[in-house]
Amino acid sequence: MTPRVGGVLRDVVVVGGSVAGIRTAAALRRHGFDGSIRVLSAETVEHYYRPALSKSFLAGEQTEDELLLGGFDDLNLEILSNTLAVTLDTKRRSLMVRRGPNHAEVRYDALVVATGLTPRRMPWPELEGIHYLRELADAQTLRRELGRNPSVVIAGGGLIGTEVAATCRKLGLDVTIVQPAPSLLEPAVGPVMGRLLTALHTAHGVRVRTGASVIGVAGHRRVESASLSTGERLPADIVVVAAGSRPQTDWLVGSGLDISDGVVCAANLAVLGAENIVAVGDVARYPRPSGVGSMRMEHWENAIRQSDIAARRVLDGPGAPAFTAHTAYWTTQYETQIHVLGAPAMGDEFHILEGGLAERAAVAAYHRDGTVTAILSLNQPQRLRAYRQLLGTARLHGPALVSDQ
Amino acid sequence: MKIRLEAKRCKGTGLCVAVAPDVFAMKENGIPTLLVDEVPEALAHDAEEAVTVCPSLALTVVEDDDE
Repeated sequence: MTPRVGGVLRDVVVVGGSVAGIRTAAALRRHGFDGSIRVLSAETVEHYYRPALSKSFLAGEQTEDELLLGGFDDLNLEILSNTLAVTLDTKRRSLMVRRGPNHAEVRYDALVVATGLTPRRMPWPELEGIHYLRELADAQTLRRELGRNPSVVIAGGGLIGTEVAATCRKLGLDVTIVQPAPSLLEPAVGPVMGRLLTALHTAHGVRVRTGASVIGVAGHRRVESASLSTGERLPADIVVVAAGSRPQTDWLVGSGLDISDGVVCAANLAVLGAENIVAVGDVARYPRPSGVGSMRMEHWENAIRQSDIAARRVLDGPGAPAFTAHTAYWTTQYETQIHVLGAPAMGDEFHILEGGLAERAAVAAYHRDGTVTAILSLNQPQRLRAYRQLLGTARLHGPALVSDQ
Repeated sequence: MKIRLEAKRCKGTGLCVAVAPDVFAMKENGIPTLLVDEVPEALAHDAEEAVTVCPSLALTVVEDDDE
């Protein structure tokens, strides 16, 4: 296409075939790019709905085919599945990629880094029955094993851990969550919501061990038990490790890019220290909208919203707009659905704006130093819109609500 | 402008309801329903945002001249 900025733009290479990569490719087309787009995907399967891996797919309610999202048939993308980026040479504008035993060089005019996350691994012996959950193949294996009525220990009480626990209960399984924090999801949603979620899981028959972590596993060939930091030993046929993730940037070691925690970007998602490279999705570390510090968001909706900004940076160059949207995530556990808009941090104050937690219908605000950092909905998503303009403002002061709503 | 909702694709995340509560409402079964047949001008921006953020590509804009 005719470049809108200096330099020829014929070949865009997208590393990562999940939501961030595919949506960025779609946005490039939407904005008129008619050159070549190659998408490298580490997985075998095409663009699918990853959030179901801990929920409906794991519960056996959906088939693999039902997870496929499609949506790119008309985009004229060249999707290279089972293909990993191995190294990046920014000066040559070239990647080394591997597909099975074969290596090849791939040149680009612009590169989109959308490699997402990889689960944090435990330094445990390799026993059968220990599971990490990220890719479809992980979920397929775990789902098969859950069909054998195992007792399950989940190491980590964050989003993945709690969603897997809820799924296990749906399947009637014996399940224990081991959570280092004082309550479930507490680092994400704070102690008030954490206690509510802990009570919710307990009421559904999950054993919850808080203030504890899984420090080891034992067994012969297969895992038989998990040892906790408290000295307790839990029998376990399956241990699901849900202890967080880290950005998948191993392939960028030696590239010269700053990958200390994600790929460091400018506000318009241009990767710092490189030309014609953007990062998008879970892997992108970008300046906070407040201008103080930087952040990553490990959420699906964030990837969707960033994809348009990333595509515009590719096409329009340094003049492209900054990413300033507040993004939301959701989790569904049993019959309860929670949405969080914005980015609450540990220690933020929490105030109910309307409704009540006991009624399981509420909207609440998180705030810190007088600034609203996030809005939470408990089963009231239709009320989020009314409150979202509070984000980033100082319209809550101390325990008294001062809202112009 | 009209919105088409493919219920078969919908995963019930509630994000459309969160960004465009005057266009979509959650039903008891966890799947949203359209509150308006023709999206009024004042709600067009919200509706388009919902189409964009739908995680399962269940929403599409149907422009009036497509009909």
